[in-house]
Amino acid sequence: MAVKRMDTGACPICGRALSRFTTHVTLKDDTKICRDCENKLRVKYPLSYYIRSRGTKRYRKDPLQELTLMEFLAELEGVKEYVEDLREKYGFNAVYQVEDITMEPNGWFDPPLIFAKGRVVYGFFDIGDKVRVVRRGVGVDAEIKGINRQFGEEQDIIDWEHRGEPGYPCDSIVFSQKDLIVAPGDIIVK
Amino acid sequence: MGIFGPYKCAYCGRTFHGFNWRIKNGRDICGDCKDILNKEMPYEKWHKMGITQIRAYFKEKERLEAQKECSLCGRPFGAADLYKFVLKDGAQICYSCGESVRIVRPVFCTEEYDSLKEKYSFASDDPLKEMTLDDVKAAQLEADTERRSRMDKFGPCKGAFIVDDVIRVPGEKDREVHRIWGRCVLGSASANSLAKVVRREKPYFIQIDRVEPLEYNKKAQVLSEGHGGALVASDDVSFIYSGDVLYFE
Ligand SMILES: [Zn+2]
Ligand SMILES: [Zn+2]
Ligand SMILES: [Zn+2]
Repeated sequence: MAVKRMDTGACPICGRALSRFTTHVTLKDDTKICRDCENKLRVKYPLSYYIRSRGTKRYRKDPLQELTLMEFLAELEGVKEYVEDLREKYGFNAVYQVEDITMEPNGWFDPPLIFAKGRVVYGFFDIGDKVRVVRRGVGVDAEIKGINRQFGEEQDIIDWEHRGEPGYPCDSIVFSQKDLIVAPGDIIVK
Repeated sequence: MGIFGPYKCAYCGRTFHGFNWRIKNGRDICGDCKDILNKEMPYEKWHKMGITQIRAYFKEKERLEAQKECSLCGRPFGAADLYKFVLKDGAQICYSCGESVRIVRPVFCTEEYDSLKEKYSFASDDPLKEMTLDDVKAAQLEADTERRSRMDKFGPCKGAFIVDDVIRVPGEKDREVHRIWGRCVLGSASANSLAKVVRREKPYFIQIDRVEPLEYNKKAQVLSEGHGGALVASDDVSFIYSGDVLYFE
C-alpha cells in the first residue's frame, strides 16, 4: 500500500490530529500540542530566532516550551484579556512592529522596494492588505506587496510563509510606493 | 481481459463469450456483472476479491438496504438523512443520531502520505465506525452533559464557533475576502447570517457569506456541532483573533 496514514496522536487540548503541519510545540512536560492551540497563546509568548556567535544557522527561542500543559491551559484562559489590553494600548485592530529596514531599487519606473523586518504584535497580516504606517501618531496609507517569513530552525530546509501571524517574527513586509518612508520604530497597523 | 471463451461467470453463473474480467483465484466475471461491481467500488478493489467476498459484500448491502429505520431512535430513514452511519456491530443509525455525538466524538482529521505521488493529502477518520450501538448510547449521554455545560458557558445562542485562524482569500482583487477557520463547538453556524464577536462587552457583527465544511458534506452551507471548517466573510475581519468565539443568534 503506497498510502501511509499519519499516526502522530491527538492534541491533548483540542483533540485534533498532530500531523506534519500541526505538530509544532513540545511543552516542558513533553506534551505535544497542535498548531491551532499553539497559535492561540503565541501572541503572549512570541517566538524569536537567534544566531549563535560565528554561526549562520538560526535557532528557535520558544517561550512556550517553558510551560507545562497545566500552565499552558491556565494561560489560555487569560489570553483574550491580554489581547484586549493590547488593543487598548495601541488603539488598532492589528499591529506590526518595524525593527529594521532594507531597500532595493525596483527598476527604472517603480518606486524602490522597502523591506520592513519586524514582528507581528497582534492580529493577522496578508499580502494585499491596506494598512497604515504610523510614526509618532501620524499615519500614511500603504498596501502590503509581500510578506516573507522563514520558518524552520537550524535544519537546512527552511520554508517560507507569506502571512503575518501574531507573535511571529517576519523577515519582511514589503512595500513599493512613491514617497513612502518606513523606519525602524514605526508600526504598521490595520 | 481476453476475447475468447467460453467463460463461466463466477457471479451470475452464465456461460459467455467475448470479454472477461478476472477476480481472485483466476475466476472470471461477465460484462454485465462487471458493470454491477463497478458501481459499488473501483476495479482495483473488486478484482482482488474472491467470489465469496463479493457475495458477502452484496449480502451485507442487501441487509443494510432492508433496514428501514434507525436502530437508535426508530425513526424511518428519509431524505433528511444525508448519511446513514453503519456502526462497528453492523447497526445502522440515522444522520441526526450520529451527529448528536459529534460534540464529544468529532471527525478526526489527519493526513496520508502517498509515497508514489510523494505528497500528503487530507484524510479523515470517523470515530462512529469504531463504535457499537451501546457505545453511541453512552456517548449521547456524555454529549448531553457536554452540551449543557457549553450552553452555560456560551449563553443562549443558535451556535458558537471558536476561531483558529483568519486567512485572506487570494485572487479577490477589489474586495477583501477572508476565511475564518475554526470549529463549531455548539449548535450550528450557517451561511448568510450574522456572527457576533464581543470585545470588552461591546458586540460587533460580521456577515458570513459562505460556509466551507472541512470534513465531509463539503457543499453544506451550515457547519454543525463538532465540525471544523471555514466561514467566509467579505466584511472587515481585522478585529477577529485566534481563540475568539463567534456567536450565531
Ligand atoms: Zn490542539
Ligand atoms: Zn455475470
Ligand atoms: Zn436516529
